[in-house]
Amino acid sequence: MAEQGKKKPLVQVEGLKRHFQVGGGKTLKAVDDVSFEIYPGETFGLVGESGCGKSTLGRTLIRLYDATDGKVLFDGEDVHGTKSKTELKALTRRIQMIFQDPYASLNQRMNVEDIIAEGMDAHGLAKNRAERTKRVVELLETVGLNAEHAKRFPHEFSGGQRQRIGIARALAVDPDFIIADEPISALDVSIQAQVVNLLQKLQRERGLTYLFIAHDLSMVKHISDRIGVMYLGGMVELATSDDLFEEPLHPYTQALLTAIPIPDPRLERERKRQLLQGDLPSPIDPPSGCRFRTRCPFATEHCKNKAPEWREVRPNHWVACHLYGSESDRAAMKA
Amino acid sequence: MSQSLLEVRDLAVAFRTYIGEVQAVRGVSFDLNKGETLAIVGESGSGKSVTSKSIMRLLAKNAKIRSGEIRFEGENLAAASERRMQSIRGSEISMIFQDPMTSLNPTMTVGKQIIEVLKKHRKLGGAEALAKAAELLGLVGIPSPEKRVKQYPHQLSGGMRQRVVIAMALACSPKILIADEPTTALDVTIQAQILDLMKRIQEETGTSIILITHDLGVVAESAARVAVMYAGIIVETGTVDELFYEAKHPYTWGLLASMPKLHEKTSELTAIPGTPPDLMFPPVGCPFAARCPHAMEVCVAKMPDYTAHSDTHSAACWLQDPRAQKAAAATGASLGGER
Ligand SMILES: Nc1ncnc2c1ncn2[C@@H]1O[C@H](COP(=O)(O)OP(=O)(O)OP(=O)(O)O)[C@@H](O)[C@H]1O
Ligand SMILES: Nc1ncnc2c1ncn2[C@@H]1O[C@H](COP(=O)(O)OP(=O)(O)OP(=O)(O)O)[C@@H](O)[C@H]1O
Ligand SMILES: [Mg+2]
Ligand SMILES: [Mg+2]
Repeated sequence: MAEQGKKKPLVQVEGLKRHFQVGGGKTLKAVDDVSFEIYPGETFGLVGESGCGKSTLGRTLIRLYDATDGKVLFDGEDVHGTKSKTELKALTRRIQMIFQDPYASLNQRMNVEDIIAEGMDAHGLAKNRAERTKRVVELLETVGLNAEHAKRFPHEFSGGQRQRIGIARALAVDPDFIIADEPISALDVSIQAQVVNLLQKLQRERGLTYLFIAHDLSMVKHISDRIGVMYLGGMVELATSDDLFEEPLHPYTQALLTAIPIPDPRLERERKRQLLQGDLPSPIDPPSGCRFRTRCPFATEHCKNKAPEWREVRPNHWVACHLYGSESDRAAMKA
Repeated sequence: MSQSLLEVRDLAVAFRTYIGEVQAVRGVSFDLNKGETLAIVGESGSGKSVTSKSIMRLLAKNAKIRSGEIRFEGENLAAASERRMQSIRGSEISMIFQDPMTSLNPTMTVGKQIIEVLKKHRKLGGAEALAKAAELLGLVGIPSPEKRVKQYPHQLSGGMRQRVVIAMALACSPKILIADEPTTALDVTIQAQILDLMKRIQEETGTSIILITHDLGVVAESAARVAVMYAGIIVETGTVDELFYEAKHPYTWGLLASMPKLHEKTSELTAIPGTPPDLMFPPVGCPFAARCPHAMEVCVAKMPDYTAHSDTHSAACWLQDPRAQKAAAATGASLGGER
């Protein structure tokens, strides 16, 4: 995406926060001051440890959660602004979500046709019964299932097939932007590839834009144009997929990349890995200054005292770390 | 070759359910050598957990070991009494599960839980057991173990809990440690710590490990040998190098090809079409035949035997069978059995 500087973003996230009130008057900052953009037709990968706020971010983008602060612009329109019912409906048609658990996310009592057509019905996209069925069959075929499957129920399908039904349901309303929250995590390796190939094919054919949330970094690298790395509610690095893997800047990203086991025994034997010490701190009481400092091998007093700024340190490569901060921050790191 | 500690021979396990019988494990044989790590990989539902629970004799009530032997230091565990198994479990052979909470008692401090194990199998008591519990927590890399022994499971993070479970499993220096997806619920950075820990412990204690995982990266990092399971059968087994660089079974090829390569740019992943067979009605032939791009008539009709490719490497596939090879050579046909 070399030309992205000129392209108009499809999604603009500015200083987005989503906090939860938890017991004892405490606040859990699940997403805390995150800014980035997603361009039309690209796949934006989002990775990070469990509980770092990926799903919350995804849900806040489409207003499944209200934002505590900050802004999300979708095609220039303020997602969290006051809206009439019709405006909101128009917006929800253009953004769809695919969920991690293909077992829990489909209504077990509805047959596949009704599941897929639910959104079409809500938005009045089919003129009559016959057209509805025709569209459903088309969608089933698009995702590699067939007309026979329309009258069956979710429990009659395997995990991979259910995930295809979830994808067909998302496609039914002809969206522009799909948030896929760990769409393959619950699937077998051999089935994951089927689903990822399908998502990529649909993107080529329909010019879809994806936010792809996942744990599996090698899969995120495979599918994404750009990748954002989250840690404890904040984004710590953002770069093109190639840049991030070739030259990770943030110490957390570096540790994350060396921690992925490579399915190649010879490479594994030669590899030196830098293990992170300690566990993820609680998001209820995060460390002062830089959130990562308690596990960072390079942390100094400065990291404790001041939160690093989110800076574009190279073209299209953003990082929040004092090691790449302003001149005074870098000087303070050496002191 | 080192000596084998455990020999599983032709193990078959079935589950009775209200709609029929599930043939979960259908004739599995493998050896575990002293001090080695054997990984078992394969599709979800292929029988990895059932195989390992059979060794521990921890199968559900509706399960039955239909045939086979599980020889541990010469003794057939498949026929051992429940009493005998109780003295083996946790002391000679221990198991770690994917979700550490299933192995921990939420109402008891972690120290107390480790002490229970020590009391039961090693007749340690009082201050001695408490000191040993703290020592074990230190061994698995838990900081300030004297404080942690007094905490309850819910006061620990997921990674910490899994360390406690490992400490419990190691309390009696077992000869075999079975780890069923021990890091699947954890993040990669914590996973790396746990795998590193298991490796270190193995070096120090010489424990043999059976590591069940679906992550081929974890296999490459941790195991010496691998068994690949599909539909209740081991379809291929070999050293990690044989498996990753000289695989012979089309399912193994498919598994390796369907993973994205970190260091190569591939525009499309090679998916294996279709899904595994229903083990209520297992196919008579090769269970992978329906998804196999190289399947021949014989594959559907008859289960192939194992063909040995080295002392450590064998695969159950008609493509490699000397008889099929001969027939192909005679007719000038190509078996297509190359990756
Ligand atoms: N509705 C809620 N109320 C209170 N806390 C919440 C709520 N939803 C999420 N959280 C907390 O917010 C943090 C971020 O959770 P989130 O589900 O976004 O993480 P994630 O990155 O998606 O993790 P995973 O990889 O495990 O899915 C966690 O600490 C979680 O416990
Ligand atoms: N208690 C049970 N009753 C009936 N069938 C069972 C029972 N436990 C397991 N099975 C069946 O036995 C087969 C093998 O299951 P097993 O748990 O060994 O799979 P696995 O290889 O460990 O899979 P996964 O990777 O998903 O953990 C599956 O078809 C499963 O449905
Ligand atoms: Mg999530
Ligand atoms: Mg299992």
